[in-house]
Amino acid sequence: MPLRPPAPWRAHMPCPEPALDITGIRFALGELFSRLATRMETAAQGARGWRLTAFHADGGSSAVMVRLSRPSRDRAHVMRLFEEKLEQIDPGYGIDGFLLETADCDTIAPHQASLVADNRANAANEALATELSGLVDRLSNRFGERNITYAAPVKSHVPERAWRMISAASAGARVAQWQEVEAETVFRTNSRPFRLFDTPEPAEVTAQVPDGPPLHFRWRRIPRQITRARGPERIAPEWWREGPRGVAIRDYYEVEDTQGRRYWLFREGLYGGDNAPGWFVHGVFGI
Amino acid sequence: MPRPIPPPPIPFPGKAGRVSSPKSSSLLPPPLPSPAYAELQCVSNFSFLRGGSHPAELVTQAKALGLTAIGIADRNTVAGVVRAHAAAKAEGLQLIVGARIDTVPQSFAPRQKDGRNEKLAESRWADLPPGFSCLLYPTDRAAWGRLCRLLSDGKLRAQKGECHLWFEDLLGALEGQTVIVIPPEAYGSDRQSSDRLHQKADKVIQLPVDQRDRENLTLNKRFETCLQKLNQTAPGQVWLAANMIYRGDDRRRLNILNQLAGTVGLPLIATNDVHYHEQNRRPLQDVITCIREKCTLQTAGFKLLQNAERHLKPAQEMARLFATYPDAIAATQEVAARCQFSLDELSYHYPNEPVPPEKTAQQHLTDLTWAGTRTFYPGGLPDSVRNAIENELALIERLGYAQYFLTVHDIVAWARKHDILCQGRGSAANSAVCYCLGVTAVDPSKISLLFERFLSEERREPPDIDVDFEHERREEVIQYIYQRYGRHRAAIAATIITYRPRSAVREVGKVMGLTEDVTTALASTVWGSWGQDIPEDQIRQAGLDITDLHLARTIQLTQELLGFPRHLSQHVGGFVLTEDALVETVPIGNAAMEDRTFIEWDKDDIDELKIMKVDVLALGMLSCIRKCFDLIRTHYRQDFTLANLPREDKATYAMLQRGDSLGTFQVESRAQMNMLPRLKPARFYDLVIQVAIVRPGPIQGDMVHPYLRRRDGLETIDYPSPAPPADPDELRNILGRTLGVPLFQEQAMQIAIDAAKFTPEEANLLRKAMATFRRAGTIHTLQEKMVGQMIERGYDADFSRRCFEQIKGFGEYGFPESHAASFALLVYVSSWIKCHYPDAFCAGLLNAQPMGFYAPAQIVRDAKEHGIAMRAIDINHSHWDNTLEENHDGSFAVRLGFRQADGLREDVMQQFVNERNDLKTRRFSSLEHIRRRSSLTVATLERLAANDAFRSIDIDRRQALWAVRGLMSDVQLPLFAAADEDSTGRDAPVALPVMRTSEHVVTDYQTHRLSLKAHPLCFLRDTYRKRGMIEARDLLKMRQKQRCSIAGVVLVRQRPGTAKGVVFMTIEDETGVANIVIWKKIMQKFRKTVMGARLVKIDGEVQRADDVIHVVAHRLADLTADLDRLSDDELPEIVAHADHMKSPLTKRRPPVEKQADFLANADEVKRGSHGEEYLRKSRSERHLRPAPRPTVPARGSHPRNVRLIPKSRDFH
Repeated sequence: MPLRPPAPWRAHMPCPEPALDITGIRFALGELFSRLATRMETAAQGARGWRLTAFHADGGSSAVMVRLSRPSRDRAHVMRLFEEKLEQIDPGYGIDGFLLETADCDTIAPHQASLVADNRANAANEALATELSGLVDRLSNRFGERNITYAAPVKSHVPERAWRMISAASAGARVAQWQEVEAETVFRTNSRPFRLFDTPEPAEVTAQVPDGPPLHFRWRRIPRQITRARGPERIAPEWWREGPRGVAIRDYYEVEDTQGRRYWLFREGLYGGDNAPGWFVHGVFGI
Repeated sequence: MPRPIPPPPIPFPGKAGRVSSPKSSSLLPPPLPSPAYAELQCVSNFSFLRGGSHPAELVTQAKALGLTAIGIADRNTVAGVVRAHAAAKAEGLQLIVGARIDTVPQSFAPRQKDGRNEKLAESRWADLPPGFSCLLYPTDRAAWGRLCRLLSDGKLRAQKGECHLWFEDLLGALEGQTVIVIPPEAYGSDRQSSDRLHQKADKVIQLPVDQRDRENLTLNKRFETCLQKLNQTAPGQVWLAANMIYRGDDRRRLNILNQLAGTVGLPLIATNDVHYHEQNRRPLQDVITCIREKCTLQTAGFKLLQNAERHLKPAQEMARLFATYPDAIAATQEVAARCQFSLDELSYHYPNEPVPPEKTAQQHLTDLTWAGTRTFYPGGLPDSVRNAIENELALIERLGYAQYFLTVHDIVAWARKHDILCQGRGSAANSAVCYCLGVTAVDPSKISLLFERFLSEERREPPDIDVDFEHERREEVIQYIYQRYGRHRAAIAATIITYRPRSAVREVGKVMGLTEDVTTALASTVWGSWGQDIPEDQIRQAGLDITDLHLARTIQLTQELLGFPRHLSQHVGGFVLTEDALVETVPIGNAAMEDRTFIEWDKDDIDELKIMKVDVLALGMLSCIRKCFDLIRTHYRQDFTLANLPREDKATYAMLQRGDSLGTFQVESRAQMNMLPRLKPARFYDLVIQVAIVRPGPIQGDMVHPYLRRRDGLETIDYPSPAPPADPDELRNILGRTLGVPLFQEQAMQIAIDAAKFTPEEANLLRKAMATFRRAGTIHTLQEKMVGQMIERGYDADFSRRCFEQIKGFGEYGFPESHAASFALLVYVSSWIKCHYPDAFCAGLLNAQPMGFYAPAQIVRDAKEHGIAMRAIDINHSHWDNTLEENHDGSFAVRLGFRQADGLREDVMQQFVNERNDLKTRRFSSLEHIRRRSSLTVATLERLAANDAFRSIDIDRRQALWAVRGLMSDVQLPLFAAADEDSTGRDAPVALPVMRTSEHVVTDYQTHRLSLKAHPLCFLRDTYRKRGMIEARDLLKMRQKQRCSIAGVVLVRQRPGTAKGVVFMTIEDETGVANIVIWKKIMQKFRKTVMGARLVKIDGEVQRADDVIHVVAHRLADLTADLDRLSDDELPEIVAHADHMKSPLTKRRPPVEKQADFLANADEVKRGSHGEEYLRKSRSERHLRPAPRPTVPARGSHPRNVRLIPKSRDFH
């Protein structure tokens, strides 16, 4: 057994008679949790990880662990998360004792509910955030942490590298990250499409050379006429990543067609070079 | 081993699409007629860590692209304008000089009334919204003065390297300026301004206005207000810059700016915010952005620019981008036409200071000169000298340089009055007037001088006089100059610290994400400089794969980064003095040292603009000589000065002929020492030749051997004569003193003047062309002229051509005779002292360290070989300086002083010595006695114990350390102190294990860098003798080509740049030194050993030439591990100062650090090998540069922790 440092908060309960079924385990968990929660409340602490260890009569032990994305000592929430996992403990010949430990403790500031809901937006945001993290916890614990992912921003000019998927449970201050990136963007009138395609789709475009915006283009076998366009926004490739082949410069255009749909087109390469440049649709502003 | 695959070409993104290319020309519209365009917003790499190109590169590219003018405006500095100016003159392009004024962030807020404002460090400015920025281009001289004053105000307010300017300051300096306002980056790029422009709202979902938008709004409003104020203050002088750099909303922004300009009433001007001259520089620019922001490329994020459009674009391209606003393009021409100010207008005036009111400068100079002749020629003035003086004075009068000479004379006179040794050097020694003023020491009656070398009518450049002072007292001279001329008229020139190979590799490697061990490995392949080709084998030897793309990129970027300026630092001694305010010619900034200010231009820039400067240099040998004179006066009661030393002393020359010259000036280096027995100097002029000839240049140019042969009488000298009626001895007069071999620049010039009848001006052109003949093509016209004229006058055609060829190849290493003569005097003086008073010489030399070629350990060893008794550091006898102690027989022994030990402070030890003198017996009797009666702390006592300084009270090192550690803390109990008793009573004696001598020796080296007890190798001698290795003194008995095996501690490694990769190593054992020659192939095979070993075994064969013995190495072995057997502690390095690993050679001028300890280590080998590169690359005529300051371990750091050379690393 690997030697672990003792958890900061733990509660232990020996059973006078061995617990034989799930009701017993649930009861023991509830008891232990209440004890710990009271003590933690005095210290205003919450935990992100809770581990219940059951010591069997025949000498073995089994444990189940629950992880949360925010430190919490909320009984309902944690018990609900445990509920799904309690079945994994097989009582066997009976359980002699239970141990409930915490991991990753952190301070929870006591939350003052306002008497007058003056700042509804903030309150609503807070409530939303809590509910969302609760959902994320439940899903993570059910499906595994790695399967619940979330898009985090990456500070890169190249659009397809401007985000990455990270595990939702470890996301931390999600909104704040995006806000920070937003704050660092100098040219704020450059919008990014709502939907960005994984692979840009080729299109046939007529445009004025050398860097005029497209006049009309054909994509997914439908010809579209362009009424308004903005650009070009030139994004040069990140030269320190590129392999020997190299990637060409892209000029991005935000265009609107006669039907009012907006697309994000780019041209890869420049006119006048060795290869003719290619046009692609990278995303759409819309669903 | 399979051939290495060449690395793939570095795939940087290709150039911007060419607008007209034959292949796809059908696609492209016909090119517009090319309008006239001038790029006015350029930033060069003198905006440190922002720009990506040298100013010269920008100018050249602008010319190539067909721009009509270029304006280079660096951020808050004008450091690079002179280089741009020189390049623009060469290319024939109009250069508009100015600067970009970046005011402090939030400078929109008005300054506090009491002048105090929170001084923010510039490193925190990135977090704040930027201040107001604009480009200032002066239109006339007065406006340039205002610009310089503005920048000086900003710099003097802030710490070194920073400039704090407020908007109000800017408003005060606007007269005569053309202002191009740069709108903030975010202006026109936010949502509010776009909504204002388009009346209807966008179809995009309106996101709520957030904090950032609000900030932007405020910022924009403030910017507009400032713009209004600016336009009101300087109507008709302001433009608003707009650029199209493919941001995505360029057209919208341009419209918004146009609207703003219309509202305020300004015209728009088109610029491209140029950061580098061509698109391929973008990677380097990204790298230096990361260096500035201290992050790696991976983590830089948005700090890097999005695209590579900020480069110089051709006029057509700019016209196309600004097709909707052609007026903006035309505005560039308007501005270019207004700004006709050129740096050539910066003429200025010499200070009038030293002239008494009733005389003119020329009269005063004349009087002083003739007065000087009476002092220096008491027996009567020879006619040649009289003529020379009269000619020189006439020339000085015509050119109006009298004040310059008076200024220098004034400084020298002040120094002499305060007993500071000084001597002029360089081409100034060609002047008889300087000799009579006492500035130089070369007597025109003894050495033939060529005044045209120093000053000539054609050149119109102010003369360049350098004066060496004692290096320890140079600071006093500097303060005198500041005090006399005032801070607003005197300032020190700057020196530009550029990226050296090792630092460049480390920085680029860090940015590229390479780990530290890889960058260190790369850096260690550098020996001095990389040169043009990457040392592939060495990189592979270091364990790195050169085909790796990332590594190849790193290396390429490093090579591009080499030579980029990093920051300015104050020069070591060049003073710029003006009559009116210097601050109106060039901005002055604070230096890191207290109370020091320096200008932004370096010495080459000053030469380019023909501004006068005086070089106040330091020479270690002058300090040494002074200290020797003081010691001789104290102990031998003889008073010597530089002037009254007996001349032409035979014993001195005999000593030099033996090659026994360690510690003397100039002739102590390895190469010189080997030459002395061959050249056998017997009189003063031989020393002059010795100084000049032993450099790689003359050796390569095959000057040395003919000279030696002629000297030994093996060759006859014949001097061709011209046809009568010319003087048949023409050439003999010139070349006779060097036995027909042209050695000096003056001789070449004299031949041109006398034999080919060149005018002095043409001779000067010839000299300059010689120095730069590989670059400039002017040498050919001069060749024809010279050869032709010589033939005309009757010289043999073949001889004339040969003569010219010799002179041509000579340009690289020609030495000025006057300089050699100045130095030869010091050579003689130092040798004389060494010959007659070797004890005083040793002590003086040790006291003047750090200087010279050798480390103290070698100086001490040499003194011991000459029979001087050396005594160790001792608490009862030593002073701070090394002193002489009288022996019973009247001779003197040298007592090492406390300064030799690491970690002791002068003031502390001085007080200790005073306390010791206060005692009745002048001796301390025990450790407790010292504790009681002196103020030394326990820490100091421990250091003294580690230096084994307690032998006079019969305690050796180990016992002393033991006893010191037993002492209680510093608090003295008053009762015991009053009774002069020990507070703790006697300890029981403890038997400590006896310290072996080898351990003593190692600890000696650790604590004071030398050991008087034994040489480390004595302890290993038995083992080595059994292994068949000989001692150094056995080499004298060996025959030519005899094989031998010798081991020794590495003292010096040198690789003169022109010796084809040959390395010279000097090793030392307990009997002497041995000189090893390592040829290139052996070097490649044993490179690691050569570079890293401290104790080395050489198997090779002996090479004897007369009395000079070398060992040519066939195999090397690293025996450093044996040193570890001597003691548990590590033996530190004992290399000499001139070791090339420690102080590497550099191709360009080496960076001179800002401390005052400048050394004029004129080791020919070192000087010669970068002399040639210099002469090709440097823009001024001076070919003498200060050598890099040798790195001596910092005092105060524990010697055990100092590692002077890293051990060899093995990466496999």
